[in-house]
Amino acid sequence: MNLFFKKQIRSTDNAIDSYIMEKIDRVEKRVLTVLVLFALIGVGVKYCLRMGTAPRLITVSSDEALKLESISDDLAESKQVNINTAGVKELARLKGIGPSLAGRIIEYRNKFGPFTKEEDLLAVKGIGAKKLEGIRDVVVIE
Amino acid sequence: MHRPFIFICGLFIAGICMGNFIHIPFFYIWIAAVIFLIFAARTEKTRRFLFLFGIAVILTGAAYITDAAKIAPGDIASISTGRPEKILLKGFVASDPAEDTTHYGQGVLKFISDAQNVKRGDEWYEVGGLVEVTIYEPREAIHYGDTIALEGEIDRPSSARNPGGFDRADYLAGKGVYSIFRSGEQDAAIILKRGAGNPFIRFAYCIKKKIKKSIVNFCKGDDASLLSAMLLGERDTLSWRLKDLFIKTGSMHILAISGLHVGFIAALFLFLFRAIHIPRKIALIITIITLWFYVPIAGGRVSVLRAVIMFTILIVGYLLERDRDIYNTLGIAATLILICWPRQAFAAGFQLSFLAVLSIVYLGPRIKGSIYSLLGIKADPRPKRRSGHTKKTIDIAAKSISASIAVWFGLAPLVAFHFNIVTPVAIWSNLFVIPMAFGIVSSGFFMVLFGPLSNIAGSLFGSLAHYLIAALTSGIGILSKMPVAYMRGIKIDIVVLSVYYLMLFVILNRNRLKLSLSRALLMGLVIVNIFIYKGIFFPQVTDEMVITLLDVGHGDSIFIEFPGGGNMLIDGGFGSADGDGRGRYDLLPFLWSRGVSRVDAILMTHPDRDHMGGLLPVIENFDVGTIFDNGLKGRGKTFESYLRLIDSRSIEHRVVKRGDRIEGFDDVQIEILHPSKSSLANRELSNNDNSVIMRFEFGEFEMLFCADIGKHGLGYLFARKETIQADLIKMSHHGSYLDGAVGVLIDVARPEIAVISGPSVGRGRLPSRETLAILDLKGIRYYNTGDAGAVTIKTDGKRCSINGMIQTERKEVSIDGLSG
Repeated sequence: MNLFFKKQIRSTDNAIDSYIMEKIDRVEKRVLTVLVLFALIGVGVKYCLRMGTAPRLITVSSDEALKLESISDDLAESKQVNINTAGVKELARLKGIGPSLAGRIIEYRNKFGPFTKEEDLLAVKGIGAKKLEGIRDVVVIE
Repeated sequence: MHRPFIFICGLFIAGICMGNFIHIPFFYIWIAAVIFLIFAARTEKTRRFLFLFGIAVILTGAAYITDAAKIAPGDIASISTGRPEKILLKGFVASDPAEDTTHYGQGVLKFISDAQNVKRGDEWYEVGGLVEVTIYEPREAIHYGDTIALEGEIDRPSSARNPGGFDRADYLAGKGVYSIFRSGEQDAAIILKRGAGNPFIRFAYCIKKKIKKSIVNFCKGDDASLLSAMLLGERDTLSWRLKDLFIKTGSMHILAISGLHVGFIAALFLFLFRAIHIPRKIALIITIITLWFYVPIAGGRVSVLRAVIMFTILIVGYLLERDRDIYNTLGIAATLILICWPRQAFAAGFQLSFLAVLSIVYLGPRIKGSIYSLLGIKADPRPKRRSGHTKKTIDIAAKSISASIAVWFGLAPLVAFHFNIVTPVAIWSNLFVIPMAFGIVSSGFFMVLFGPLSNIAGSLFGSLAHYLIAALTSGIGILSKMPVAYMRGIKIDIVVLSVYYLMLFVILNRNRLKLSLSRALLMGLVIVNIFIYKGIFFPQVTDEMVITLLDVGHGDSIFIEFPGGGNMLIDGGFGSADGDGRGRYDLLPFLWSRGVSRVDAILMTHPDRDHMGGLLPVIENFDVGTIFDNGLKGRGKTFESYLRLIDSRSIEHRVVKRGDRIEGFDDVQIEILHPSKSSLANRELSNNDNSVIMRFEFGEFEMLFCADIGKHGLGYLFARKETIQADLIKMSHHGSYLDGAVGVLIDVARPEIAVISGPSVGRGRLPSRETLAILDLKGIRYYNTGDAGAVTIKTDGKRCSINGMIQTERKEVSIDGLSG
């Protein structure tokens, strides 16, 4: 690209010209035009691709759906807390159960052995019927 | 063309602005741009080409912002209804997860996820788009590149809840994120796949972790936070006190990775490479590659990106033996960033980052010239090699001072516009802070580099960093206390801002525009005069009273601006003795954004922390006229700090009780209805039951403020059959049911509209469902700050309008028609 430097200013009219080069050669013109053309093509393609999307409902019982359902199942399974092997942190996650109550569950476990059925939990101080209902779904006894 | 990219960048930005405010469908803009471009390509004449090409560039800018403004239909945001909804999310972890702790001590993990699938109800969808994910008490470590499945709630990010507050929705939209997702402690989370994603970015994040480990290993507490900020751009762990010092001394920029840091790091690497005798050109190439890894390490923010792009261009230019032009380079960097994120044109960070460099290169030399001519020193354009050391030192000193002054004059109005603060001391503090920053970054750099190899080296550099940090902190502490170091509550509108920069440009280019200095200054004076006279003949002061009930969650904070000037603050939301709390985060930015520098009256209804605590930062940071309270003593450190502050600032402290009136605000009658002598004498009454109850009367507008008064306190009011009738009522105690007294209160007061200053409905016990039920039953419209955001009431004494910051439905009410 050629570099032309600004001419002497003759009057205020040419003041603006002093910011613009006297000549832009053809190569430069082409390069600039192509750059902007690419930018325009880019945004055009981007817009069309984006606006053409929509949340796609996955048909039940397709392969995809089966894979995703297994993810659902895995999530549900990961939530399961084995009340006999869980540590304080895991127990404290349960709804309505904080660190102190979790500690008491473990104390009870150590003292009286593993729980055999869900209702056994009612014996722990602080766990009432309501609380038990709240955690029934995720608690597992093994 | 000499500097094509100033031309292109300037017009591109103009196009972005135009496209943002004038909404034209994408297709028309795009076609117009293509047409103009084709015509431009076919012209031979330069002037004509530039004109057509220029319009094409403007239209391209408009096209880009129009594209960025539309959310794709397939974006996960279209799943969200505006209320939080439980879903399953399967997505890809697209950013480096950031660890943090909540106020309650819970561990939090935050990252951006590229959404893939969503399960709502029984159906799975395939979606796209980005979500900001927050996981509370995460079960396992999550890294960039993992694919995860989570249970949780999806929602739209909220915009500013209080005027002057942080607009999270806008900030996230600037990054292309339109939804947020929260996964709680009890929600399941599993990792489906690990280790995908861009390997370079993964490598960068791996290095980042190692750097963090080194920092924590060799540095203690506050040092580690500061070093994290200066090396990695992580500012979240810094204490607000320290951040405040940086803001007040105008040195916040050293906590953001930008040209300075990138320059330091580049210089350090080049120094190292030279020390081990790597040939210069190879050293430069390796440095560029390293700098690009630095971008994701520093969080990918615009300021780092700009600096690295510019350094790359600089180094590549040098290697290709081309002349360098800083303006063109700036233009290229700006254009590249805006092509990816057009909305950044409106972001403070982007504007400040580019304007800073522009000011230094444009204003700097001119100011240096003025300094030299002022001192009568002749500037030697080509200093001979054996020119004296004094000359060289003077040159360096002059360059530094002129750069500092240049940045200040270039940036101060923009900083005032965005952050409502002006920091005159910045000119001096930067001369101290920047060399210190270099020292700290260098020590940190060597500590991180050599630490893993030798513990001794690591601790050595760590201690060096420690002393430098201590020096820096004391230094800015002293600077911040100097007179007129900073001024807050400055309000500048965009017109003043544009005129300032226009005038600056005109004065600096008077030669080109054939204007003498006197003519240019005369022009400036004329414009300033126009503004002054506009202020006199069309004064801002209205005859309206504006009452703003801020959203401070569980707490009260009400700011009243009176007709004819004057203001009053009732309570400040929650705050603790160390100055932290909602008061600081919500109230202070609100007051500053309103241009408040003096609070004429503060009324503290009762010494509970969720009313009084937030007043502490206000008393500290503002000029206060008089403080009123009920005279009762609170318990604990917060109340002690309250009294101590009032004492140390010699603020007039008055106790009010029933029968008192607060005078001084023309046309507005403020009457204190409670506590009374008898209620104060009753030892059994709680703090809440003795809180100050007030009634405002302005023309036909009447409003009752009930603070936290309970059933027993209300008994005193009902017994006296006080005229507590009012059109509007601020419900007591964040919407508490008050054992049914709420019903009696409403029957006696007969309000049309009720306002509750409390947390969002359903979050906790308050506001109570029974209260809302009674309001519905009696046909009283109500607003809750926790749901509507800050509630603003405007009245001229005859009519009043009320609307919430987030609920935009405005309600106009004529008071004539209200029950009197």
